[in-house]
Amino acid sequence: MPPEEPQPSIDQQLSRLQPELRRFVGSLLANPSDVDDVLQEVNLTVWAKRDEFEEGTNFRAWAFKIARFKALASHRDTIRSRLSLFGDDLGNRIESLMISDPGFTDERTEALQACLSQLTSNQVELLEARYARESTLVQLAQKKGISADSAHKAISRLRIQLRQCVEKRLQSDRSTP
Amino acid sequence: MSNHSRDFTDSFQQLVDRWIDGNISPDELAELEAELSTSPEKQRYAAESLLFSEQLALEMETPQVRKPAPRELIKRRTLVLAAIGATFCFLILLVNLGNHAEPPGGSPDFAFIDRLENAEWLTTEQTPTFDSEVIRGESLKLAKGFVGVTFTNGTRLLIEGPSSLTIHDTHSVTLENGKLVLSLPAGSDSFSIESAGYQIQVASNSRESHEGNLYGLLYDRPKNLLQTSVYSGDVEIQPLADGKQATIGAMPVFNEVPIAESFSLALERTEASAAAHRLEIQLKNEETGDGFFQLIESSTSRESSPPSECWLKLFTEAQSQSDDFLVQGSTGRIAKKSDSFGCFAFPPDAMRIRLSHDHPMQGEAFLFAKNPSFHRSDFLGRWTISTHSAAKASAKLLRLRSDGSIVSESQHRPKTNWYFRAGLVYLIDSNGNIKDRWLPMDSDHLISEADHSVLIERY
Repeated sequence: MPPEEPQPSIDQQLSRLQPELRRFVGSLLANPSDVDDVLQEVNLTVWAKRDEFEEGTNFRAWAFKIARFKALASHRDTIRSRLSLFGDDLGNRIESLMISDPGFTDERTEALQACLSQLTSNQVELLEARYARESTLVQLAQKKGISADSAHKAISRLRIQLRQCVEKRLQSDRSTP
Repeated sequence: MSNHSRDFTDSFQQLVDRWIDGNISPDELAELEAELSTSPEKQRYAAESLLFSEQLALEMETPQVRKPAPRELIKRRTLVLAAIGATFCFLILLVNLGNHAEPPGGSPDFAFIDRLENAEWLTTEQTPTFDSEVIRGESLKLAKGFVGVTFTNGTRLLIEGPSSLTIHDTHSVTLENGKLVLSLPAGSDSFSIESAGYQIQVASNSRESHEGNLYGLLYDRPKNLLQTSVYSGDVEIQPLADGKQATIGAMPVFNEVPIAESFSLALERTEASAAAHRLEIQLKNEETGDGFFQLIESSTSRESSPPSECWLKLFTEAQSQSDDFLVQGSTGRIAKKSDSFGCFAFPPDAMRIRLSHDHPMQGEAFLFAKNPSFHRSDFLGRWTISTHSAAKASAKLLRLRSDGSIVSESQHRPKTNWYFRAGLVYLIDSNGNIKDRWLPMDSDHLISEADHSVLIERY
């Protein structure tokens, strides 16, 4: 019986995937000069999380999921800064969960857009103040005559409301033949 | 993403929200971390919540891709017009504030206390609370702890007690004693700080960073010591009167510090290995003014197995041995040895090690690699370090003790043209409890317990 061909190691598979990963990361980034940095982040993460990879499953798909997340995180300072508040172990676990999340699918984005379109102008203004870079929630709270803490609580409620709305829409879409 | 919100307590959800909004106190953070550590479900909720918030952020930042219903389109147009009107009124208010049109104490509030951590005031009468307004000309006399002030124009101040600070208007303060960190948004007017008979003008120069400027100042009145720290942007400092003396020391990084254009040193692996790695090291001065080391592989064999980890050992003149640091791949990430990352792409094609520090550093560095095939560490190279403070925008990757040895590194990842914006530094023990906190320019903090980690807040 011929000897069974050994399974390539993680680093061998990763090495072979480099050209594809580079192209993929490049397609997700606006600034080509960031590609090397992000690719290196992807490589480090794949290596650090190698124990999480299940033998026999699709390594390429797994690595690309990490690449997609790293490309997103590269221009989302919030993700990096929030995860870094935790110890490495917990931060890594939450990062792994974010990587494995289906994430920003077209279906989900459309549901969110539909839910956003149902908000009142006050609610939209609050969200814009929280997420737009030009202004701050403190400024808006001042204009509205409420405390910053109240504004933060209102944002929290809005997010929960929107998440429930998105889930409801997705369930409704799935149940519709 | 699934909806678990109803499965968790309100207090837990609020903690997650505060974490996402960057509005969480250290005590709350410790509480959240404790809750998350024991529950994979809660971790999933936190991960999903952060992702959802980021998705929401993308939607709100790119309104052109949204397709609101016709009814909403009208509503949004009205909103845009209203927002323009409100912004116009708000701008007029800011201009008025900037022109000092309002008499001291008689203006609408223009700054708020937005952070209080272990704060104790010097006088019993003065007890500003969270979210309370600051009046023009008001003095904040802090005995201990930390107070954050946010101005309506987005400028932020973080003060550590004991401190005494008078806030004149939205762009000038006097620091009579103590420590502060100033965060100036990009595109805003310059900010003036008077302290120790000096006027310090922090310019809103966004050349290096879209995030504006960050500046730290320590005035130890009893010692007549004025210490400045420029994390990003440009700062001018000048005496208010001739003959005034003060020690400008420790981190005079506002000066252009000469950095050698380049030098190279051949390094050879010396111990049992088939592959001789020849490395060159260059000290470069990027156009931004940063200094960094660049190790370039010039002649090597790639036949041997890549090492599972590699790290840098730094020896300084004043200290026989300092902490170990991993050198990660080619992008210059430096992490503690205990992080146990792989270093599969080694020797790196271009390994950068960005070193930023409070004081000029003299000493030697040794590069090691651990090869999984041999289950031992290989000595890769040794070279001499002789640097000055990186001019401008020193990312606080490494902290030094007063004797020059390394205390800690930031958990943030350095990127070209990306600058670390430091707020509070937290000392955290192995149980996740916060043991101490201080402002980053205070370089005299000693950390004796080896199992403590340091977290530097992004400000």
